[in-house]
Order: sequence, then C-alpha cells, then structure tokens
Amino acid sequence: MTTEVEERSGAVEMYSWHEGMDFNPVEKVILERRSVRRYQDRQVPEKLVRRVCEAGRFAPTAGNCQAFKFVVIRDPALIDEIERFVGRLCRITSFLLDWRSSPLGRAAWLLAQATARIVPNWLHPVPFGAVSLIAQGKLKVFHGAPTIVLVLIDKRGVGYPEKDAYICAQNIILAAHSLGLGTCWVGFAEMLKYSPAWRRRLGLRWPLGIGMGIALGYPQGQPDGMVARELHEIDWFEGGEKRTVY
Amino acid sequence: MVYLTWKDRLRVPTYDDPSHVMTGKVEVDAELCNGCGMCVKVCPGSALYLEGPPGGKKARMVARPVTDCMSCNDCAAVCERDAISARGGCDYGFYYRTLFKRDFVPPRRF
Repeated sequence: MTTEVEERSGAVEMYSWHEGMDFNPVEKVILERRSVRRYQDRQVPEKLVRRVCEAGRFAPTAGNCQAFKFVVIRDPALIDEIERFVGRLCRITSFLLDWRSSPLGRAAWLLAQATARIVPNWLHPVPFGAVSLIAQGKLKVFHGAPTIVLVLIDKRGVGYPEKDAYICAQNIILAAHSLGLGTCWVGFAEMLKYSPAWRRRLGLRWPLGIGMGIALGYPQGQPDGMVARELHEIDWFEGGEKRTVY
Repeated sequence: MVYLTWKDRLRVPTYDDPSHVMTGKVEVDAELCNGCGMCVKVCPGSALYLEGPPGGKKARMVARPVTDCMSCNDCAAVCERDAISARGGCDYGFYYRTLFKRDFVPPRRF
C-alpha cells in the first residue's frame, strides 16, 4: 500500500503487482513506444547515445557471451552515403522483381513469384512496398535520423548470437524511449553486408556480421502513445486441460 | 491443428487484386480533426492525405482498395485530439494470412 505522502511525491510502484494496478514506468515505456519516422534536425548529445548503449551492454546473452558490437554513425555525409547505397540496391531489386514498374514486365513477375517461394519473408508485401518506395526515392532508409546505431554480431557467440544482438537492440530502443528519444528499427541496414567496400569500411569482417540498424533522434511532434492492437490467442495448459485465452 | 491449407501455403499472389488482401482501414472523426497533418507525416504506408478547403483541411485515407496501411496505429498515437484510429487489422490472404489474431484492444491492466 502506498501512503498518501508517497503518492503526492510521485513515488511509483515497481517490483510488485496487485490486480488492476496502473502501468508502472517500464510498462509505460514499452506500451507507449512507437516507431518514429520523422526526426528533428538537432543532434542527440553524445553522452545520451553513450547512455542508451549502456542499456544494450547489460542485455541478457546466451552463456554471457556478449557477442555484439555497436557502431555509432553520426556523420550526415556517411549516413547519406549509406542511404544512397541502399537506394541503389533497392533500385536493382525493383528492376528485377517489381512487376508493377519493372521494364522486364512478365519476367519480373515470374522472378518475384520464384523468389517469394525461396525467401517469403523478404517478399512480404510490406517490406517489398518499402523497397519500391526507397527505389523511387520516396522513403529515406533512416528516416532522416541524426544518429544511427548498428548492432554487429560476433558470429562465434554461444547458441544464436544474432538473437542476443536483437535483444540487446531492444534494450537500446526502450532505454532511448524512456530518455525522450525516438527510435526505429532499420532492417535495410543489413544490405550493407552485400558490398565488400562497406564491409571493409565498417569492419564487417568475419567474425563480425551486421544485425540491424537503429535510427535515433528527437522525434517531430509527440509520436509516442498507447494504441489499440489485435488481441492474440494464447493457448493455456493448466489443471489437465487446454484453454484458449485472449 | 492446421493453420494453413496446402493451397494457402503455395499461393503467394501479387496482392494487386483487392479480393486477395484486406489492408488496414483508418477512421477519421471529421469533427475532432483539425487538419494539423501530423498523421499524414508519420504514416509509414503513405496511406493518408489532407483534403478540404484551406483552414478546413481534414485527414483522409487514400481512396484505393489496396493501400499500404498496415494498421500500425501510429496515426492514432500521434493525434493530439484522438480524431483518428485504425479499425480492423491488415490481412494479406493466402500464404501471409493472419492467424490467431482478433479485434483491436488497447493495453489492458490485469
């Protein structure tokens, strides 16, 4: 039970639960986090980036192997260069696979159908639409964020080091949101691995591989907030029977 | 339990046909919307635009049967007046069919 004094002083309940209690600050950060795709021009202070990387450093990893490495990019020219490179790759992808605009026409459609069977996750309509938008120059890969954090993976890590790296990235994202920053996962950063020149430049040599990029910056407006989402079915095994809860 | 039939598993249409996909639907409360345009700016699928006379602009959803709206509700989160929200999830048919998901519900306090 919180006393009246504690309530007035803004003390919050952590590490305890009672039914129907209000969301605690950690839950609030998780529930209010939205992916931010509009950033202010002003740069994030260096110390703040160092601080959110600390949250990443303390992520759980298999066998405490900590098989990740951060690369922070804050040079607008370098970010621009990466975006142009990804744009070029997206234009090639569009040329080969986008049956809506490719001069290859029906051949592009056939190629897309074949590719969708091999890598269905990449040919999902949503990322595929993003490829087209990036190719047309309508979407910026890093959404104009002033700071990019790339999470690299040491491929010699215990078990599945890439999963550890993603957990680590989520720590960074939640910490960044709790400190007033906007973030966005940028899977397209992975495309850097296809270029020997970029691999050399960013140190993506074995045993290091690229995981994903995180765009960091101060958001335009107030994009954070709780929203409605679909309920998900949960199978519940208890008391010798199976139920479905939502 | 079978979630996807073999027919569904093997079929990846182009989703140009509106009968193969139900993309997200967004509802705008015209009385609450003040046309600030933040939702249009943040929409990752470019599925919104502003329409109307100067001073009386309202957010609208693009009038195509297949849009890039994925019901992310970023528009609802950014709207200061709670004038906009996604109704109904985005469901690509066949191979990418939505499974074990139900209605939209805000975060619950158990």
